[in-house]
Amino acid sequence: MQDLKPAAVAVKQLVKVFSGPDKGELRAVDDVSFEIAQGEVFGLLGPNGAGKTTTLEIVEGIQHATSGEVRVMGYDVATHGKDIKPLIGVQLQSSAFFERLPLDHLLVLYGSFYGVKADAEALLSSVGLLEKRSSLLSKLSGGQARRFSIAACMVSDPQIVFLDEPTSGLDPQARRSIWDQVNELRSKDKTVVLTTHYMDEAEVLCDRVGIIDHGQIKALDTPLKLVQALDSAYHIRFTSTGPVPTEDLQSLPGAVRISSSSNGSATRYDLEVANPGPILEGFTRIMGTGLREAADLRIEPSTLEDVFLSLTGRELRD
Amino acid sequence: MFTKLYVAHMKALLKTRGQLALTLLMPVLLAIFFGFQIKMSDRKPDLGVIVQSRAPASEAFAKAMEESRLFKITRLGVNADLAEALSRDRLEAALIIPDLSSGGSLKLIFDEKRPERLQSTPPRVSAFVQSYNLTLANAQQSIDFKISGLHGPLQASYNYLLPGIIVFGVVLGSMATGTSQVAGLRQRGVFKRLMVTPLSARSFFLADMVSRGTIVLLQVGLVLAVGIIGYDLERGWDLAWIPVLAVLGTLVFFSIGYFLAAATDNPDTSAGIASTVSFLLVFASGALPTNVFPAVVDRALKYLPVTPMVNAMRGVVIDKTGPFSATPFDTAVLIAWFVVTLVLAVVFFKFKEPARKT
Repeated sequence: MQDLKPAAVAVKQLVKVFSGPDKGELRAVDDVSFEIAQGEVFGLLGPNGAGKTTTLEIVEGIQHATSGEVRVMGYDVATHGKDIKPLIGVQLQSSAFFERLPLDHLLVLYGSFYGVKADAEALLSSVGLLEKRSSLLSKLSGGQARRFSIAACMVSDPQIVFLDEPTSGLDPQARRSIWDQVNELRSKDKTVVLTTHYMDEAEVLCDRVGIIDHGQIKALDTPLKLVQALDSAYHIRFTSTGPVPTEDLQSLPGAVRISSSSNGSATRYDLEVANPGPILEGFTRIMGTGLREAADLRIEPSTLEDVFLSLTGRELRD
Repeated sequence: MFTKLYVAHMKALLKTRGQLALTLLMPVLLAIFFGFQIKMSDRKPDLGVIVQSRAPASEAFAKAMEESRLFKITRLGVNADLAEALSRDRLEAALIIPDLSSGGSLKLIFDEKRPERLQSTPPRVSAFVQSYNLTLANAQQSIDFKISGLHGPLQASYNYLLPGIIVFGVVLGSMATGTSQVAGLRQRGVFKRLMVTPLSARSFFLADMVSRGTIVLLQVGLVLAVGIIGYDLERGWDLAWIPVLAVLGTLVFFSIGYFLAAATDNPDTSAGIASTVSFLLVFASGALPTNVFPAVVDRALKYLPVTPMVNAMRGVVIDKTGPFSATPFDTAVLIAWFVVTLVLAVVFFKFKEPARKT
């Protein structure tokens, strides 16, 4: 039976061009199309400046598209912004709130914008901040402030929650706490759209991810399928104190590429392969010749980070 | 630590080019402008003279004044309507010359509602009288002079201070501080956050305007209380008009502040612009000499919103009538400013900021 529910978010041929007298023309979003189903946790991954925040802000109605169409729960963002706002909750990169109000008052205030009486205690309790209800935002740690901003975007019980780099700059404990919040949203059948540049985060949290670079979607699928689509689905990693004939390893059937890094006394090798099974015999033979020792030998599946790097390159960006 | 901190601050200041330009250039430009105007202007103060006695001493003094190069003298009749004479043309004050042979004192009269017109007249009269006394060479009793308001001795001086104090507070509370606060909220991303809620920029604007109006009302209450309790504020006028005019002024300056904040996305630049505009408005109200300008400029400056607000309040506390009867033109100008600035602020104020982030 056909699913009649509209997509939570439908983006079609979206383009955003910035132009300035000093910087010329910048095509920040370049013909981006994707759909997000209701109840899905969708991640937009990309290096800094890739266009993910701009894309998200156009979907949220903060910025206008140069061309293309964006629909949220069936409403056209360009013409039905007022209809969309009650349906979405947005957590921005900056934790920007009125400075002089305690947390519970802030939530009540934000609830009033939606015409609802926010249950501040329940919201704060859901993000583990009930004991901080009388505190000012400036007194919270980075992780607490981020959790509060998630509570704030839930005051209207929205159908879609947008999280823009929700764990950026947080310590591991705080990150895991935010992950718990996202999983909590998933359990409530909320649609979650998040941007991140943490691959493990996207892999753990997202049903599907879109990898965006230079304003274009480079790949879009489930994390597993993205990894499986790589020509090197596995890594054989080992350390050797003696020289290894990398040309021989590279010529093994199924070997994709080999890279190494040395600390002076030992060299760490990373052999990327499509399938480790057929290659192991040849690998053992080459290493056995000359009595080379392969210490710390590990065979690991590729990750979303490998997908990301293969699509966006390894050079540093501003 | 101090040196590093100082260098860091200097770098930050130098990189805020808009504010730097305003901070450095505005005083220089004003100094050059005023210096030029004063240098180029040999205009003498317009002084009305009433000679009350035909005594030779009085006539001699009046003639000496006319022959001096310090004043432009207009002779007024003994029964001249001083209030009317001081309100028309550009007479800055009127000097009443009594029978000087019997030891009477000169009386310099000005309109308390327009103190800015007095400008440099008292020191010039004082200098002339001192010089004239020297020429008398002890032959006669020395002449002295007193300054008086049109409405009598300056006893209830708080009445004359009140409008200026309230207007200063209104400008400070609604425009000068408001502009940078609004720009600060935008810079911190508060407006961006509000944009994604159903709250409209107009609702935010109105709520802020009302809250600032409330603060101004408290401010007015305190100023009036100080006047009544501490300075024998002369009553007999309708107290309710002062908060009404103060709130009207708040709406005007608040709207100007929002309009300015809409034009800039940097709180520092906004603060600089707001300070400059505040200064210009206060200056135009007569805090600094404006009669050094050509008459048309001088007159145009009076249409800026501080001046009609001050005049309307003076109409209440000095003329002791309502602003519509005492200063209908000023009140109308103030209302016109309110309408125009409110429309500008509502049309131009947005939660948005220019963004290039990707």
